[in-house]
Amino acid sequence: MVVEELKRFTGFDRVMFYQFGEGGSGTVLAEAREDHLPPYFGLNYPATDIPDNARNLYKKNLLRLVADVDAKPVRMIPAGLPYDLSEASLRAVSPFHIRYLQNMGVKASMSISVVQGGELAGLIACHHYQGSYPLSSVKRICCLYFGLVVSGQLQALQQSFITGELLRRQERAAIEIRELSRGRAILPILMKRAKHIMACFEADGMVFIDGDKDFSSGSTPSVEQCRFLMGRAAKTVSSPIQYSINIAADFGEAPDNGKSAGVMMLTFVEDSTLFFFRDEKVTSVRWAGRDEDKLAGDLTPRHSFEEWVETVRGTCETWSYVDLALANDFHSSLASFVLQQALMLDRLSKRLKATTAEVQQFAYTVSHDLKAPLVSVNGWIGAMEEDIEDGEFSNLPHAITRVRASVTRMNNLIEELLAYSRIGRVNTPAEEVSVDALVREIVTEMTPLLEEKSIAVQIEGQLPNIDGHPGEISRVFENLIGNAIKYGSGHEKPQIRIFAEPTRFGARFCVSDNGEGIDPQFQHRIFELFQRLDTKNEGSGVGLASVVKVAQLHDGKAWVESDIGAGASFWIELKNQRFEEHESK
Amino acid sequence: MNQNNELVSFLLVEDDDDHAELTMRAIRKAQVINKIDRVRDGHEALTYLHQEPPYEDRPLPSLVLLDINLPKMTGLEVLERIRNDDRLAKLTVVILSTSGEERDVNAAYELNANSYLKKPVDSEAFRKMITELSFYWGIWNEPPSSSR
Repeated sequence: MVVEELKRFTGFDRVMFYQFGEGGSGTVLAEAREDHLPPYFGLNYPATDIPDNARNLYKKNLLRLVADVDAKPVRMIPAGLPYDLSEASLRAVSPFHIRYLQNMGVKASMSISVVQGGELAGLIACHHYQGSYPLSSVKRICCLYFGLVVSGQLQALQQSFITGELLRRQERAAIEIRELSRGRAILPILMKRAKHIMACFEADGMVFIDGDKDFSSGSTPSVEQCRFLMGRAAKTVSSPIQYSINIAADFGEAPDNGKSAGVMMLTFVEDSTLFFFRDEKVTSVRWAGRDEDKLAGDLTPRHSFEEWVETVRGTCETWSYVDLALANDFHSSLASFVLQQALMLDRLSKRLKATTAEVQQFAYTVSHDLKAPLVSVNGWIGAMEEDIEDGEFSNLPHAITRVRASVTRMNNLIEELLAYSRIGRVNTPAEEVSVDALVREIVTEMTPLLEEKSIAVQIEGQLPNIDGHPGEISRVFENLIGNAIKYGSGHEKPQIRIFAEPTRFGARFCVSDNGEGIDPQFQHRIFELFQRLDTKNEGSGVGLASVVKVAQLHDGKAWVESDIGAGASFWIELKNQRFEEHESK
Repeated sequence: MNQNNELVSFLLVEDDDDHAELTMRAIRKAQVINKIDRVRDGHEALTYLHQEPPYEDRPLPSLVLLDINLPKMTGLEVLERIRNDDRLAKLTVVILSTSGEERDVNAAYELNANSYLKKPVDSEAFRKMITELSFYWGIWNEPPSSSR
């Protein structure tokens, strides 16, 4: 309609709408001509037909008129510096352009630029074949405005088409992203939804590689080749989204299934990539004359405008703006999910390691500590038998007392061990625990003991809250404060200080005493199960091991800072516990 | 007295009072040892062997009976210090433990323990083992000269 209208208005023999595509070549999309003229509709013109400087001039002068191709240009003598005539609409055109037009048999021409987003998107080219064709300046201005209106309309149309398609496909992609993020692992859902996900991307095949696992659907190259693409892509570009419409040309290896041509790769983490493949689409391009006619390095316009048909192989349908926008959506939504999965796996394997270590320690404990009372009980019974045989009865009450004590000790060890193994096996979800309230309650409960030993307790500031289990956190502070009372009372003015420092994901707490301190050479053992530094004080050796276990459940740690005679500061660092920490039980 | 008419003395390193009492009782009943001393942990054991107060008058024992599961320093750490001490390096050290854990046994021999004995739970066997070790290490065994 645009070209028809313009032809009617200007009276040119031929009006064409000419659109620039990728690489700068142009296609005739619409044409209005006198019936006797040969049709140019659908023809392609190579990019070299309009050199870069000509393109830039088209952007500056939205309308160019060559009223008479054969007109002799008049030389202008500049008064000083040469005049820049770029902006002049009636200046002579480049002799090359004139030759080009003459070669086509054109006597007069006019071009109206179609500019979109600052770029030359197309031209409306008008040709006249019978003599010169001067156009009045009023008509020229009309044509100029006509061009501007067409540019605007075209841009709006294209924009609304892209937006519409984007919205339509984004909606479908959102469904898939929701599905994918629902499960624990992406792979099984990817397999189930493969068809729909491929449809979103208008892809013919899909491959997902995640570490040593992989999955393919539809028309794709082999997984080995996909791994090769992954490796190549990782080496050359850092962008997580990469695409090509010609794998053979861009990666140096033709797809080994003989069908695929284009790929879109979404890399989530180092060895986790989602591939979409598009099959080769063989296209025919009708060129108006061969580009090769031109001699290399020669600026002269070509002579031949004879049509020839080129068959383009090895490429697929271009990944459009919408495809890329969708890939971005997919990537940003799934990358965080994949990362989360990897972190969860890492955490689980850490927990597994901790559990294995715990089982090993349990076995060691059974062989050392739980067997000891049995040896005692049996030993004393044997001793009693001997004494009775020898008629020696005076020692019997002592032996009986020792047997009872050993049995009690055995029972205590088992109870403690069970309590220790129960830490972390709570089935309720983590909650926000007010450590401040909890510590003050423990101190209140211990007041009689503290007063008896005249120990002053100082809680500094408000202790921060921690997400976790109140029972477990209580146990930590009961043990630490209990230890400080037991071992910290050597000082003449015994004092216990409790304070905390916030950290990024939680807090670290300190229970500090001014007692006799702990020799640094023995500090590494005090957190082990059933280890005690002395045999005189009561205690089972489970307390500090429990503190460590709670710390581990909170992704934190426990340690001591102390020296002989310098008191001891026990630290525990706790991160806020997430729901999944207890999920595995 | 051993075959060379020398006095035989043992040092027992044991934190468990019951085990210490039962072991010393069995050793005394075997009637081969002239003297037996007991300390409760590794630190005390090294003080004893270095003849530091209050053990200035104690000669080096013929045998150290060393428990593994001790407070502060483990028996294995004590053994390592003995082997790294020129004066004590050739001392006869027998590990006496409730556990026969592979890693403990291997670690002990890597540190050149002279023997590793596992305390039997059965009292008869326990007494027999103590009697036999008293004879073996107290009388029959010929220790290197520099360990005396």
